[in-house]
Amino acid sequence: MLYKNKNAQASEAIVWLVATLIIIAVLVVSVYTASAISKSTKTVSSLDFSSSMKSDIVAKESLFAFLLTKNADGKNFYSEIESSGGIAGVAKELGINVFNKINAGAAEISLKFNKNSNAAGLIPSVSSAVVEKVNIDKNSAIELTIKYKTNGATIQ
Amino acid sequence: MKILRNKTGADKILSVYWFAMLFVIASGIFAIVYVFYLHPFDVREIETAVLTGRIAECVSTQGIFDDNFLSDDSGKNFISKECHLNFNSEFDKIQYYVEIEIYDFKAFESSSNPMKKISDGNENLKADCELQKTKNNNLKLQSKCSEKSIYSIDKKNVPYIIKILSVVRKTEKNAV
Repeated sequence: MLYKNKNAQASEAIVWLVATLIIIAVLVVSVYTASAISKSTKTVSSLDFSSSMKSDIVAKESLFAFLLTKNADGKNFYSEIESSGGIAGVAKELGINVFNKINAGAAEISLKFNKNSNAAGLIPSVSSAVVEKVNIDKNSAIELTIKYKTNGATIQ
Repeated sequence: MKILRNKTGADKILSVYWFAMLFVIASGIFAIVYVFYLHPFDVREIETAVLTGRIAECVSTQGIFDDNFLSDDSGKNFISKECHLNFNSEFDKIQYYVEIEIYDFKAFESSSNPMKKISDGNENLKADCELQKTKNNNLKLQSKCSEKSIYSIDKKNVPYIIKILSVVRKTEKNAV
């Protein structure tokens, strides 16, 4: 291509200059965005995993201990719930007391006895919660649902 | 600017420009990747949760409390020995601290005194947890703490509440 006059040269140069500036601007924005994303996404919290793992060893140990606790008749609550078909009376009272004490202010707790445990409706409405389940028999289970609250830096 | 009288001259200038742009874009992509991977993943919260879980399993196995934790022998380094934990790391100083408080279930209140308190690791790290609790802040350079309580019964059906505090520092590997 031959440039016959200065005007043509100038307009061509401006096009290249603008293109260069656009490329540099895009790169600078990308670097800044990468930095911001990197800072915000690189703290891995246990809350990130709770929903997918659906497991909490601490809660499971407490649930086991609760079910193994014996009532005044020397019968453990697992057997009592199994024979009566529900959590009631002393078992219910102790269950509420136990899980309120160990999670005071740190988590939202629900302890449920579910008949027909294979039903889809058993999945708790709190999607990010951890669910620990102990089957009582083929069709029923005790479910402990825990949703931990974040408290600034720590998960308690 | 010189008037370009032939194709060869214009092409030479353009090829220099193309090389310059190639260099700029390559540098930009390098910078993007470098900046993204510059910050390490901070996995200390997960590490404290794992440590707490490990201790919970050790103190209370399948819901049954291990009486050894109430014995008089439970002195220094007892937790790491009993629970098979190794607190050594690539750092010179110990980067972990764990504390177990055992309460009588019936007498338990959040402010009550524990029947037994056992700790292991670097005790200086505990101060970071106290600071986080009072200021409710999230300072990256502080240690990460996890405090959880479990309910457990011993073989004689005596109920306990066990508070487990786990602290992990490792700031240089996770937050700097």
